[in-house]
Amino acid sequence: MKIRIKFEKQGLLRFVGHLDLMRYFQKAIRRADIPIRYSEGFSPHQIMSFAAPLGMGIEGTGEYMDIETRDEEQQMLSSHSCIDRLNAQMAEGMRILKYLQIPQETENAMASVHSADYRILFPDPLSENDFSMLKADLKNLLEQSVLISGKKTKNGDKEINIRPLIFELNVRENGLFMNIAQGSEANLKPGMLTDVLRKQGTHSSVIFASPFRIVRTEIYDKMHKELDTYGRELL
Amino acid sequence: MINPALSDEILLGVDKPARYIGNEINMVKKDLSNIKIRFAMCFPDVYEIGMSHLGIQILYELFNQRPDVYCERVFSPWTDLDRIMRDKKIPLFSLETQEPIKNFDFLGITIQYEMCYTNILQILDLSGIALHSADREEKDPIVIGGGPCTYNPEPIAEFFDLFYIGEGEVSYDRLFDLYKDFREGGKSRRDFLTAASSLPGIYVPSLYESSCKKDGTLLSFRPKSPDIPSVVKRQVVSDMDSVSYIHKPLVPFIKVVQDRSALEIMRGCIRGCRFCQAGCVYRPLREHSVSYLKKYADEMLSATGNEEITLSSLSSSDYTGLKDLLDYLIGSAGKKKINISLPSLRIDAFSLDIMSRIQDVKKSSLTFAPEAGTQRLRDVINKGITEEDIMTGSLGAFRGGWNKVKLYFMLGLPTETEEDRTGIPELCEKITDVYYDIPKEERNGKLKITASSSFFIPKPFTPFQWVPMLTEKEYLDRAHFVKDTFRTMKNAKSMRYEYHDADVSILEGVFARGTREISRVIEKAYRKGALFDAWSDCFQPEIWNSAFSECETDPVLLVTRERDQEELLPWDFIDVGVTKEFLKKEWERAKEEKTTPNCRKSCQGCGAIKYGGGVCFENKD
Repeated sequence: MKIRIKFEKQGLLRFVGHLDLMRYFQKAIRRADIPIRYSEGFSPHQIMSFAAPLGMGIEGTGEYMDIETRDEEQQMLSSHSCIDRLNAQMAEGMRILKYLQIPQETENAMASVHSADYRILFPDPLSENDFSMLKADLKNLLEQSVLISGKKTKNGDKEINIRPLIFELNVRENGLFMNIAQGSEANLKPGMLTDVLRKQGTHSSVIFASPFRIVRTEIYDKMHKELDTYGRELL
Repeated sequence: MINPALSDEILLGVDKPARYIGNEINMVKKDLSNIKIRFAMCFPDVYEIGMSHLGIQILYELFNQRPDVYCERVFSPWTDLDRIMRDKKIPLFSLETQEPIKNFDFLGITIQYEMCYTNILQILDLSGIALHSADREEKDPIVIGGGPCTYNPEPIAEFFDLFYIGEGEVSYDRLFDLYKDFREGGKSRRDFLTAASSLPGIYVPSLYESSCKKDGTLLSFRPKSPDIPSVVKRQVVSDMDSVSYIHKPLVPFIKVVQDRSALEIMRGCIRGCRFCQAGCVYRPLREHSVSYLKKYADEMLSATGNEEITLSSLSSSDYTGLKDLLDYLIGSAGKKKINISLPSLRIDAFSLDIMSRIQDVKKSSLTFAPEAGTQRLRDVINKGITEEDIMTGSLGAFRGGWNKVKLYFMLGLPTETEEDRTGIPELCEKITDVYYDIPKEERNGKLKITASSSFFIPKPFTPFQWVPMLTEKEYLDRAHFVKDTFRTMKNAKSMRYEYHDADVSILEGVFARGTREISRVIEKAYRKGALFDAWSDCFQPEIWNSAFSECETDPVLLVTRERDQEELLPWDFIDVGVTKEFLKKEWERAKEEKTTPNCRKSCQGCGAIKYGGGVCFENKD
């Protein structure tokens, strides 16, 4: 049975990288006794995949992973009880929000990712002045058709145009909201956007000099539907 | 949520920030208002190494079973964070509460290998605790050392307030109770240390004085006053099933070296290899019962979700319940997709059968530790493995589908000759012959033999504790000779030979048998920037060379000097059970190339019987 799990990764867990998160979940699933399916072969591994890796230091409140479970045992367990079992095994900062059955033919989470919402949060609400200055910076930024950002790759530094990867960007009460490209086809890291803002904006460099949090709040597919749209609860 | 001691900016700027945040699954949390004793348990190396160590996990759970004690953890910050903490004057903190170590009652440091000595100073320094016990303030934590290196604690004695000699399960309760009494009675640090010195297993270095001759030989060693014990007795658990093991092992966020549940099946070893300190100082062999281990295996796996379990001991094949235990583990492992790993197994038909059931034969390799190239030298070191054992084991392995063999050797063993060195490649060649004698169509892929040599280091409390080491040049000459001889073998293409760094071995040799004088060299090297000496990328031999010369100490002289049998040795004040008479007798037998039967075959009266348990009492009423 194909299962889609929605979860939060907050607090100290923002310092746990993607590969470590996978190992964390493999162990949590064993502890919670979720009837996960294993691959064939001499060293079987759990059938599990994540929608999109979350950058180091970034929190997530709408994260997704897909797993496959053994039908017979899964049918005896409701979504509710699986959530309870898993949450009993979570470290502080991790929480399971949804445990949904998705149709067998559903494209896996990783392949379907197209965009994600991010919020940049400042410790205190922005002053009126900061708010309007930031707004002006963003407006100016979005009016340009080309925004060049340096990207570190395995083969040295590469410059890419990030403007087409920004779908939405605006100022909110205590920070920024953005919907940006995510996934294997095109991927924008929020840090790249704030770097450009810092460099090009007149006021942003001041605002971004103090500490801020980055939170990924939702992940969408090409139809701009949340990834949990396709699932149903097991009763 | 507890706020991290480090800012986001710092955490995101260092490698693997999860090393420093704690909060792992099964981390113990306590309400500080009920706590009388705060204990910081330290492994002075990076998190991934420290978290792989069984001993501190046992003690972590044991100490935390006491409602009045909160035991937390601290490890060496890696070099990137070390620099930042010094620059920004951030005090070293515990993982659990993220509070400064300086606020704790105890700082307990496990000392597993000599090359961590500068990291001990790093821990003290970053914590803001004076490096020398003598300079510490009333409120500073009591700094305790434990672990294998405490069998000669002298080179680091001045950095510790006390050492706990032996197995932690036995005397810590009494130490904690004593500490509480002293704190509640408003007594001084010095009063506490003096009282602690009369507890069994506790050594308080500041209460003893020693003097040395110019050549580094110990002239005298005695307590400063008559009411201080002149001998410190190693603490030993006589019935292993009477102590608790780990119910809820910590589950690190990052991948640590031992990313698996470790089940300690027994302590001690019956084999009596003459170079092996563990084989002497952990006597007698004491087993856990199979039923005890089954219970803990199940608990550990369900509390961690680990996908692998490993059996921990010095020689797993000597565990009498091995077959029963493995049948049980293999049975339950199949259901839960658990892998089983079995290090330190003797390669014979039984173990090959087991291994073929639990491992991917194609990927795994077989390991032999003959330690020496000829039977003569193996007899000298009492390594009870014969050429026939190796050949039969290899044939069985090749027939079973393995094609990778690893062999471990030592260079510079007492009485070693050129013939023994030539024997190393020759032994490997014989294994390749066994392989190529198998008809081609029955062989499995390409044969790969890897032989590696470490350099012999004489250790305290072994029959070789008196013997000289060689110079760095001599070690390297011998290694080069062996490497050259490998090239002349007809199947050289199937063999690979590697050897350890000789400069590190010399340093380990200095520390292993050193006196208190050596602490000056360690401190000097630390001040000059030596840190993480166990990491070959970090080890800087030139720092050590200048530290030795500034302290006017010749490391070569210290390691190459043969100790006289009547000489007072720095560790003579410790009673580990095994007697000096036994060690002397074993040294004589070694020179006569005579082997000594293992403890199960016949008792040699080594002295360990006084602990009242284990193999010394097997098959006796």
